[in-house]
Amino acid sequence: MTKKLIFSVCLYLTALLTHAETIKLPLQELTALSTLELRCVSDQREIQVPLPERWELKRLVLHLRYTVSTNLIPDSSQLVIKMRGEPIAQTRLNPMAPDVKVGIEIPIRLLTPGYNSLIFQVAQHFSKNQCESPCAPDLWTNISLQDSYLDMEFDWKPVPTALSSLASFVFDPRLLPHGKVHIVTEDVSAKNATLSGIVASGIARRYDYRRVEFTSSRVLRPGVDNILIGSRTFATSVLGAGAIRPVTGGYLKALPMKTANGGVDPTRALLVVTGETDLAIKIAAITFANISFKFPGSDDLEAFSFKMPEVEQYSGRETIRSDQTYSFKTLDFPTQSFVGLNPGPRSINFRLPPDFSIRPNQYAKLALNFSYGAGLKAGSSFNIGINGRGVRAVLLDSPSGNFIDNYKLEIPTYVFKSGANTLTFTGHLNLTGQVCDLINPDNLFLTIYENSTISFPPMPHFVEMPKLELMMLSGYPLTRWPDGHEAKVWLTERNDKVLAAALNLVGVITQRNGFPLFELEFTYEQPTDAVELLVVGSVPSIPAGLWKAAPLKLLEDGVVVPYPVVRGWNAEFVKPASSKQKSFLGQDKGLLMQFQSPWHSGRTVTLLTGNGPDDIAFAGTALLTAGAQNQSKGDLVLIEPGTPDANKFGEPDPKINAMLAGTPYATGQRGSYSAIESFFYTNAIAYYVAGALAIIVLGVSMYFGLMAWRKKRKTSS
Amino acid sequence: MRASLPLPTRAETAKWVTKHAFVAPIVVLAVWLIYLIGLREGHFSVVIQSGAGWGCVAILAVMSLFQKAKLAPWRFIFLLISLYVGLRYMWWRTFETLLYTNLSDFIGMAILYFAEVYSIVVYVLQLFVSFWPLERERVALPVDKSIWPTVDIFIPTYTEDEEIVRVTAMAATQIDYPKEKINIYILDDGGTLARRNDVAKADAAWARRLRLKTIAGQLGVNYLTRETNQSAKAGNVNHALTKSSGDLILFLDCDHVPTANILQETVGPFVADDKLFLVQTPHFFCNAAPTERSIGGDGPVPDESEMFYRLIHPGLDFWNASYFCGSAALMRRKHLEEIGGISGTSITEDAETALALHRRGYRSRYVNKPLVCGLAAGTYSDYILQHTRWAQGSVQIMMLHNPLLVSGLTIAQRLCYLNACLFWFFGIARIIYFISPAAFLVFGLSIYHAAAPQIVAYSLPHMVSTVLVSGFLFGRTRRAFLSEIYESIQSVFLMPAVLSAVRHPHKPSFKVTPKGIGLEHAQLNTLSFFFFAIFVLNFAAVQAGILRFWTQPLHRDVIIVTIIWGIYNLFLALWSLGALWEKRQARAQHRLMVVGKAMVQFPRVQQRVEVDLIDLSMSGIGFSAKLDFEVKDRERVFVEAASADGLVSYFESEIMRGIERKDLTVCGAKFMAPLQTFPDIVHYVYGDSGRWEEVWKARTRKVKQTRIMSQLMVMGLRGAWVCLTITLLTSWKWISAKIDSRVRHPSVKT
Repeated sequence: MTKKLIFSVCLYLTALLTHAETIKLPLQELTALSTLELRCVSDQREIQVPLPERWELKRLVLHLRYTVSTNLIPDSSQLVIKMRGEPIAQTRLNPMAPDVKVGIEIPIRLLTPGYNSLIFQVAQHFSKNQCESPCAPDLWTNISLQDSYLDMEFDWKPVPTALSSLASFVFDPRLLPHGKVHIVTEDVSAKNATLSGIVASGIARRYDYRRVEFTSSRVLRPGVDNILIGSRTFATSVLGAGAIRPVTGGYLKALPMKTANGGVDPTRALLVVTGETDLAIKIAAITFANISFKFPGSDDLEAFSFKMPEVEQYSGRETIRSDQTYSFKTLDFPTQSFVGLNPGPRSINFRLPPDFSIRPNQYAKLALNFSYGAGLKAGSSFNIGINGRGVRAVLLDSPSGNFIDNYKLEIPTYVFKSGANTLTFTGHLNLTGQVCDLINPDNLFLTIYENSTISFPPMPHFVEMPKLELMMLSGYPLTRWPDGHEAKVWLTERNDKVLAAALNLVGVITQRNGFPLFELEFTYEQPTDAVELLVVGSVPSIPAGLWKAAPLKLLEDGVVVPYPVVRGWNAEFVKPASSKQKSFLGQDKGLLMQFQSPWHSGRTVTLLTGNGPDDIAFAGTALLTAGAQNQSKGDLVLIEPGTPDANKFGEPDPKINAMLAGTPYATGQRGSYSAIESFFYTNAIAYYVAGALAIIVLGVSMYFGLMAWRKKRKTSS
Repeated sequence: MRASLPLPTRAETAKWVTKHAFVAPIVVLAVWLIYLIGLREGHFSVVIQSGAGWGCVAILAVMSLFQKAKLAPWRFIFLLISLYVGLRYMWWRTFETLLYTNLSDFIGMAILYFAEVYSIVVYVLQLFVSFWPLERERVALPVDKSIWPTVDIFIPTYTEDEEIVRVTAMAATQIDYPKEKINIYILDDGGTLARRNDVAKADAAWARRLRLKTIAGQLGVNYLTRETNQSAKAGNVNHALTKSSGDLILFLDCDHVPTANILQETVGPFVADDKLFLVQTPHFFCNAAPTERSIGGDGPVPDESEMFYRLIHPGLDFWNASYFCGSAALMRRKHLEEIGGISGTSITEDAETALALHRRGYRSRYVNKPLVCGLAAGTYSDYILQHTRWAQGSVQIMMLHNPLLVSGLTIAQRLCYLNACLFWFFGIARIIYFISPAAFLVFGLSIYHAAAPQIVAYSLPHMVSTVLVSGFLFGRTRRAFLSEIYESIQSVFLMPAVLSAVRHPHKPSFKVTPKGIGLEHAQLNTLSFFFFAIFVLNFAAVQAGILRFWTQPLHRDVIIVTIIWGIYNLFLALWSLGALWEKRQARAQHRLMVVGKAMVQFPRVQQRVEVDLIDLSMSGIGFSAKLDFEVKDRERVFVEAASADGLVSYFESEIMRGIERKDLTVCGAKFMAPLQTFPDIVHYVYGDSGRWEEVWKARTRKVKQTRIMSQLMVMGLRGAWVCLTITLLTSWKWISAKIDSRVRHPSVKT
């Protein structure tokens, strides 16, 4: 005991002396589940623990809370915890103390930069004799991921000056709790804002799903990674003469960041994106955004051109297109075996274009290659589920096992949804014999091979808007072209905070879409061409024309606010009441709205606004959180500050109020719809009434028109 | 030197614009309606789509209950709604269901889609043609007979019975028109020099020539023949044109006996309109065609051609597209000579000639009144032969004088002629519909990618609306399912003929439809084999469908729909087989059910009784009366019959049978028919167009649905019996063959 106490004190003192940083990482942050349930006589689940390359891990402690079934027999029931396959702890599952909290020190040598599998494995029994049902309902252990967490203690490693470090070291999706990047530009002109957008988009993509927060100003900001964008003259003025060598093309350079007092901070990066001409700077920015391979080894490079592969519509992240057949390997589903009594599900996550209009007469085609072991009980099968619902099952009915090639299944497309989908395979492998027979589950296996395929039929692109959820899902409609073609960011005021909010949204969209928005243009003037618009600016700067089209109209002569009166069904749109009043949005609040462009039918305006730049910056940052993104639905989202949450790294989760209040309109692949089309597509009754009127008027017109002809025919002879 | 057309003056342009100004809003509204259909409803919920489809059907159903809906403008609204339902179906079919899955599916899908596109095009064209049928008033001849045009009456004949020609020529001599202005010609192509010199045909040709010349001599009409049979009927008529000089020509097939007033009804318009080239009248048949005989039992059934003559032709007349049907028509010589006589490129020379004259801007007219009485084809083989000629001729016209491309026609005329040509491709579509269920259920081809809710929303409303439209437009002349049965019966035979004509448009040759041929016994036509095959195919499809229903739960909705389709095909096949069981028709002279009064003298009891006429033919008369005495077999009576023109004729007759029915005596009497009374009999039987009108009306009398259904059921049972017989016979033959082979080659065992 004394030894342990001395060891702990020494450890604490060591930590203090080395100024190491600590972070509490709730396990819930690492998976979409809130609990892990381990069932049957044996089961295991794993969680991937990220470790960024920039961290030098000093200490790692797992605080685990789990609950066990009170019917378990402690002598033969245990929980084993493994890190990267190596057992690090094991505990008896004692029903006398069913709710357990335990702290486990994980040897840091077991962890490597990247993702490390933390495995929870159980052996559970409720009977001392052999006559035990292997999957009795009594056999369970539940790990609470909400209350379990990892205490991580680490130091920052110096950033390598090689530009190749951008690929994985600097902008690392495993960085916790999130990335912070400061962008320095000469001014907030549209040109520099566009370049910042390209750079921010590239950085956000490297961070993958990890939240990254952008700020913008004229000067360097110590303590975070900085990107300096602008002409060589500007770069020289910030960094000093000699920092940048004379170049002809675009130029990228990696430097250690400066401290507030002018010293060097090797743990943070300063990246320079510059060039002699505007075009050269743009080439440098695009090159910077695309360095995804560990090359070059030098700390600078000159960029002369950048050729992008051909970009096609709807080719964003994990998106399945209708004209291709995808192997499971392509969909990140390598050959996998389901082994044992309770092998658990395996999933393929993919997206369908968010504006797919799914028809009832079409089928997705699965061609499965799989094999299974001998001696399976007659009822053994594997189920195929779509988005959590079972849709098909395959019977494994050969007692001697089988290898089945090209087993074709059709799944109606209406069980899928536009946007994110999950295809799940769940094996249900049962043994033959009686309960008291000697159980040897080693022959229970099912292997699904990676050369199995899935394909979708052609589906039309049509979606009724507004739907902010689609923007949070894949950036739609700004990402109809994945590189942001036919989309613009309209900043209604020149302010760093407004620009930062816009960059944060661009970052979110890029991460959702998985493709850098090179074609996305920033502007301060009202765009005249038919494009999808992201408008960012404070309330007074937003033109009245936009307010009139918005679901909540903050007009000078009065505010028009929608209030839901009737609570309808989820799928039913109940038009809210409308109140005209003299009122204000208030401080510390942001508004995110989506509506049809008042200038181009079928085009969408997404508007982020607040009373002032600080409110907009707050709203922009708030939308980086997963909670805010998940709750942003409909066409009107009010964003308010929340209370700090211990399970969210102590950061507040914003409060989101969302509703659908505005007029629906239609859009699709071509984006632009005429006002008539949009009106009819969203008003079925009007459509049929127009048809009926056309028939009646046409009938009567023909009657009068043909009367003369008839008379002439009658009297012609 | 280059010739150039003079530009229209401003006044001419203004006049043209004013004249056609009414078209502008119609075009705009039509485009708007098509635009709305083009927008599609796929993004609305299926419930809304179904509501729209069935809402339209409900409106059509309600409208069809009211007679007023048959009048414009309600009629137009009815037709436009049905057009809307049809177009929305086709739009949906095109943009939502044509999916590529694999090559074999695609081929099957494309074939079925082609059939549906064809059907919808013909459907739309028929709606157009039937838009506003013209009801004309009679144009009387001027009082001054001296300005009445002279008329040549052409009775072309080839190998038909000379007695048929005699009746027609006799009736022609009785036509109510100044005798000095009429010339009657028997145009004998059966006795041409070529045939008389042909060793195989010489005897018959010489005999025919002699008999027809004798008949012509007896009746005081002209007999014409020619050296060769070149260009068949067209050549025959054109030859006669060179030998005659009347202003107008009345064309009569040799079995088309004219009524006395035919020229009174048809010459007037020619006097009134110089640009009129044709007055066509209906082809009215006194005997039932084989299908009608099989379907109708004892009751009257509208003739297959009645839909065309009673309703479609007035529709064509509205668009100035009434065309020459080969007989029962009057044409102006001057116009005919302008185009070199009757055209002979195709084997439907009549329609081709009308097309040529319509192209020259001349007008046609239709008189919707039966003024001839003809003979329909007596057997199925003749019926198919006749329809094959019409089909091939129409295809020839489309291939050689495509109405869409030739100059001179109005848009409406183009569409009307196109309808006439395209119609005959129905055989191909029908065959595709016959095999489609089996393609999916037996062979597993996915050729119709639709889910059950979509079928409910689009396909079924379209199908029901076509039935409603058919009833609305043609209900009086075409009973439920009869069109399908007619089409089915012809389909397997017309398809190869039509395809052959498409491939070789110049190849088909004119084949005369034999007339006046009866059947001694009821018999199964050998053509029924095809329908047995169709029955077997669809029976297999339904069985396979039931199996698939259990093994493919994912596709149950489509499977159910296809099974229903297969069952419908089974019924069609059974009905067709039932119809192909040809009823006996031994009667030499066809009886016609008639209504009217006559006086009958019974010399034996010295009574003169007023009787109600029941039926009438060239050989006798049927009547009923309240008699206070018993009628004896073979009793001599005198029938006093008054014609429409007031002429009273006396026919010495013999009672063949007398039956007491309740308080009435129903008698059948045979004319003793000495040669002297023959003209009177012809005059009495055929001379009165009013009688034919009564008969025509009687055929369209409303029949209870239960009766129609029972007739169809009888036909179906007859078809099923035929199927069973064929199956048993085939099985028995096979078993017999097996037994025989075992007897002849006994196996050797050790």
